Amino acid sequence: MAGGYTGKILRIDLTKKSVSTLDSEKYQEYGGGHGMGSAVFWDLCEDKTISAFDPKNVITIMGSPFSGTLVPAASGRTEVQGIGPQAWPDELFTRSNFGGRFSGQMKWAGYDGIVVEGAADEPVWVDIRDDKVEIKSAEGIWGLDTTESQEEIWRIVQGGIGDEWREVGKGRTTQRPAVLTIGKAGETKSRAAALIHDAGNGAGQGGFGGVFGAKNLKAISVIGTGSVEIADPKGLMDARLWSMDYSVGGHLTEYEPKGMGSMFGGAPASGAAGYAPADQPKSPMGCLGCHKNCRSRFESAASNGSSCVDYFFYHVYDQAAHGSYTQHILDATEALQRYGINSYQAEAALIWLNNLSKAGILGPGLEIDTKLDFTKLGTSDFAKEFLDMMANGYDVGEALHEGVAYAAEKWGRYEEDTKSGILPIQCHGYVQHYDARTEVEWGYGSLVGDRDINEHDFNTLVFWAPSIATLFGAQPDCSADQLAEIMGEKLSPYNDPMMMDYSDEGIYSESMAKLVAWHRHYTRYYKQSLAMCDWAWGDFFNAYGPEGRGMTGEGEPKFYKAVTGIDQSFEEGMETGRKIWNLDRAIWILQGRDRDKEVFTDYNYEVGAVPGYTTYEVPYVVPMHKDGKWSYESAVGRMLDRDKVEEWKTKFYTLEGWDPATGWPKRETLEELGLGHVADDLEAAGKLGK
Amino acid sequence: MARELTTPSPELAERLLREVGQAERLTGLKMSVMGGSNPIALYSLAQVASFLKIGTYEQAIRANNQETVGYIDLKALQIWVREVLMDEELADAIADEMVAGEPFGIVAPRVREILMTRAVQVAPFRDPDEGAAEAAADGVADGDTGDSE
Repeated sequence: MAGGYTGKILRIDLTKKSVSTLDSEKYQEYGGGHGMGSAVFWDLCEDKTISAFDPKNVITIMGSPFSGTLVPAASGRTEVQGIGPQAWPDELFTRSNFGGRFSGQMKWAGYDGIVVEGAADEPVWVDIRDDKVEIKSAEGIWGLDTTESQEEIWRIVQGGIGDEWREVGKGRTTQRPAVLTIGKAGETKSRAAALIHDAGNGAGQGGFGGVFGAKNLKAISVIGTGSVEIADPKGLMDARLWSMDYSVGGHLTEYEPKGMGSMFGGAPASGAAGYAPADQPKSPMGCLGCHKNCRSRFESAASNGSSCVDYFFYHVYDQAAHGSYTQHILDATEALQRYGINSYQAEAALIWLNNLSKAGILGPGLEIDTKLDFTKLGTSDFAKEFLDMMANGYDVGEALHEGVAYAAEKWGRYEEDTKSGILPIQCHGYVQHYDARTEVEWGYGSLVGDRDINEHDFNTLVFWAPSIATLFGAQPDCSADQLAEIMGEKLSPYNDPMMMDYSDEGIYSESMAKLVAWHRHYTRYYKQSLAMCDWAWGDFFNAYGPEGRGMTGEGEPKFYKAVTGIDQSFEEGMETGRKIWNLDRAIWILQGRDRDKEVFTDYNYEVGAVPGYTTYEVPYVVPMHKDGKWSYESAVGRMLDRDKVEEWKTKFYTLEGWDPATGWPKRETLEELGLGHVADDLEAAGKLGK
Repeated sequence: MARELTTPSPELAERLLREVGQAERLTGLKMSVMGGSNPIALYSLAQVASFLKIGTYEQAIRANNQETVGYIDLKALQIWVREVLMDEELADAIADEMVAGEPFGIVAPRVREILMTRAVQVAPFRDPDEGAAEAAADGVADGDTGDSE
């Protein structure tokens, strides 16, 4: 067994109320995390076309070889997979991910991951203390919000809330168990329900909270007293210290925050603290082993541990109502976390409902009848009432409980409102996160996958930094020339600088197909299987690095070798990512995905990408290659061309070794990746690419 | 120092305090690295004044930045103030700030101060039961322009 792995995956069958283990070495070729989860799902979920709420749905909760170790920004992430109910119109096998310390406790208890099968006949929770695992009645816990649920489980496991030394299994600890739980939204099987861990860590996208509810599973608690075997402890320590040279933490004596672009190098500060009253004392907090600490906690304790995205569903309304951020936004976010609701769904719903309210469509006695009083928008009372409706499924929440896409269909507004864009669903029922018309790699990645990718690898370099610089009449630290040069070096195996061309021609090019493919393969392996945090990795441009070069390409295999002892090249890891990506693709194909279903909503083709209006500087600036030169230029007003998107899809499918007519993987592609058994199943289903 | 504006008439104050209809709304762009970029509909002077927000360049480009930029096209804002709110003086003041052609990040904080100044002027005309808008004025009175976040 290589270092970093425990060798066991805990297998819990809620129907049979049985506990066993799987040999994780069988799945080690997938790295861990997502790859291991996809392979386990493939093996254990016999019918992949079932509903997310079917007891036979298989949920994997996986750590990685890096979990619970010193690998920076990789120790505390946990990957969740299974069939999720959020996607529309078809439910899809999907993923989500949360931070904190769950994966570390899971590893220290002796497990590389947890698989949940079946459904209990009454509410239960799972109590894991090292190798002692019990499925217990959730009487007294079911009905509690996510904070209360965790506190009650801490009380049960610890015999109180104290932090004194306690005997657990064969060891001792002062740690609290790590608990993953659902709130009211999950209990009522909402498609917008999240899994919550500690105060503010959540796996929101996918709707896995509702799946827990369908399984009558209130929570999983884990505490371990073991440790993770490291192949080369000194090598790991050396690698960690080496990596700190790429962050502000390694340059404290010459402290000078460098410009945007490097996610890894960011100052250890809590940006989320910005969404609080200016005079409220606050401090940063972070996930297990992380050097960045990007979350926050406040004197009032409301919303502690939340990340900035958890505030976005409401912060602009608090600001609009009160002139600045107040206690209202902290209390609203606290309520969101306690109900266990996906913040992206709540945000999109409020943007949309507010528009419908102003249009005279939604309101008391109107076409969409509600008792919500939008004159109170911005107050925490309004937020709590709205979230209570979403979680419990009444008033507008009767429809929104199913998510915004399902609500739009129920209200007969899907076509009109996604055409105008007031309901900004990008594709597959997921709302726009970044604009597919301008930052196309984000949109394309979501289009050919299962969900909003929410992967910021290129985002800060190709969109944020140049757009913000433009708003100040400045130039980004990383010029467009340098960006193309660095990406040409680092995006192996393609090594094509033209992958950075976001011009009107470049976004439909073979090079853009390579960029999207590279991104899918990199994230599937390094970020979701080795669990390297999206808010730190990949590291391409880094102002602290030699000639602006970040660690990606060198850092990932360095840490992998130190932890596991396996000398794997960066490119070999990318190939594993391609294998995982194809395995996921095969599952989606079995669930009904094909080329015809990979289309954006109408506004992407029919409404220009505008920040409201376009007469001043516009914040839609991206790298372009024109007349042989690189520059950052505005893409404002751009619409996607339907025919050219279709041509791009053909290029992408061809590059991936999929059938251009259907988007289905070909046998030779799958066999080359060691997935011959997957090809057999696709062929049996009549869905193998030609 | 915010530019001085003459005291608005009760009629103008009433217009500036009410919310406009959906067809007359102004759209801003909420920009945040983790959360993405999404349009936000704005319906009143107070909403616009509090939404328009950008820190310094150093703050905005700081790696690990999680803060939000509230972007509004300034020319569109000026036209909206003139034609929808029908506040010629405020529109002229915004236009004056834009004359030099400075970038948004430089001009926007000054425009926000002007908008806030007007919001404070009209606050006494508001229904005293409207607590939310009152709080908006309090934020301005406390010197909170939002730039220090």
